[in-house]
Amino acid sequence: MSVLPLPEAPVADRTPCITTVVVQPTPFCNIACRYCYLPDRDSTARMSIDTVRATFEAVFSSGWSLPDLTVIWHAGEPLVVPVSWYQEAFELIDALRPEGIRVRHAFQTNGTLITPDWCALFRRWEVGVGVSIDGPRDIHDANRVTRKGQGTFDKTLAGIACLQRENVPFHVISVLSGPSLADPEAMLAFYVENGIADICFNVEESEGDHVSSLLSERSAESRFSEFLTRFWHQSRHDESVRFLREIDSMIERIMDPTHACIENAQVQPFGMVNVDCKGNVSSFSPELLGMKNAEYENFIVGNIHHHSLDDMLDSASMRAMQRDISAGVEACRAECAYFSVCGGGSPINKLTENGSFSTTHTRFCDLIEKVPADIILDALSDLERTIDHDVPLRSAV
Amino acid sequence: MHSRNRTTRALALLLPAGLLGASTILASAHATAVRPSTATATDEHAVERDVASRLADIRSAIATDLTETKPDGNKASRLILAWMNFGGGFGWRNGGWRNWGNGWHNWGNGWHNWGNGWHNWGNGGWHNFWHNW
Repeated sequence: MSVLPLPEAPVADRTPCITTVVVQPTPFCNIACRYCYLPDRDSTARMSIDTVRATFEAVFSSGWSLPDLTVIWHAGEPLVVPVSWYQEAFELIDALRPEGIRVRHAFQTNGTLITPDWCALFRRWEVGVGVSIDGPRDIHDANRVTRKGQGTFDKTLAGIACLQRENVPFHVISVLSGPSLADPEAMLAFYVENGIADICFNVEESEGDHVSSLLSERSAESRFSEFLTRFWHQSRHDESVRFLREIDSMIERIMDPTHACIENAQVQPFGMVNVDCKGNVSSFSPELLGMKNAEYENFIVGNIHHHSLDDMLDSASMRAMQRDISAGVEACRAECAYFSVCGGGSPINKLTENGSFSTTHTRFCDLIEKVPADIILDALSDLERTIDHDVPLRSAV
Repeated sequence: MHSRNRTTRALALLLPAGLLGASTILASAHATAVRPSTATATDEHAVERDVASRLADIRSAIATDLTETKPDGNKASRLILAWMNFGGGFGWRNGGWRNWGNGWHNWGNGWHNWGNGWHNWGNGGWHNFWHNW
């Protein structure tokens, strides 16, 4: 039997493949979600255009960028920086971009600051837009609040309505907590009512200083499985959702031949290049940028104004992180049946949940990787049985 | 126990359908299945081994059988539509699926019709597995 090879084991001298640059133009966020993991969200510091230039000169001159490079403008709230700043930054990046590399910009936003001017920028640059909204008002406002504790539902929904009026495609990310997990039908009804067709679910995670109450519950896995199954069945039956990330990306990873041998950029040095507003550079999980840790020098591998990417790749903190993350990935490869659909998991979750990069299993794995994979494999078995009993289908294929 | 032929037949239906089509077919099969009663697995390691071998079998079928006998997408799509609307699937009986821009009309193009915009930004199988974007 011929079986596709699993992803290669990482080796120290392997040339990096940059898939994603995550840029934090400011750590500041205009709201204060109760489950937020960002340590510096009160700081109003802003990235200079010189830092943008230094970042992309380094990325493009390295020769390590894949042909399709995603640039994600992220944490804190990226829309607190003016439209005009991004217009200048995007023009600069485009001018620096070598022929043969395509750049796609993306924002993950709380949606409260979206205006027609933002939409014009999104359309002009074909920006991918993700909006964080947790569901109906009572669910959303339980966690996504202003610094004064007031709910942000109305402002977020107004931002989504603006995107829709201005014909800007977008997806949403909803963080699932106890009440939303209990009512997938209400969640689906909310999305349908508001014309939201591309949906990603996150479970409330333990990251940074935030400890998830959901993940501490032993029933979390079965509750998430039940939620996801019911939501998937109903949304496909109703034709009401175009993309359901947790299911559809797992189908892709299991069955799409072009994705059947996956590489996990989050466990490779500079698979993801993450840059803060001062030009400090990290890699691996973007959440590491800004966290404190003595063993890994706060996860910083250098500064884009003072070090080359080559220097950073050889830095003590990069080598220490790579050593321990690789050990964790190799342990996953050796012991986890699901390795071929996840490629070694998420370093931030291993560190936060288990206290070490060099570990394997996390509750995050159980929910985000194992539950969807099990649902898809069960569904495939059901389809096989259906074909067994359907003579026309069986004879046709 | 999953025979190689059964898996290959199922994949030959799913792969021409595109990602959205495959997701709908699987949801329909899953939602309407009458499952045989089986003994509850108590050996966690045995369950894990089964998952690993199942995933390997699927990739093997994709890598070998389906490249040698590429499915007839048009034929498969007609059968799937008939089954989904009137037969063993959701049974909409309302004339068929909604015309999503990037989904329903991508039948019959072999494997390369799995696009869904932002979430299929190729790069040869690289994923960043980051869930905060």
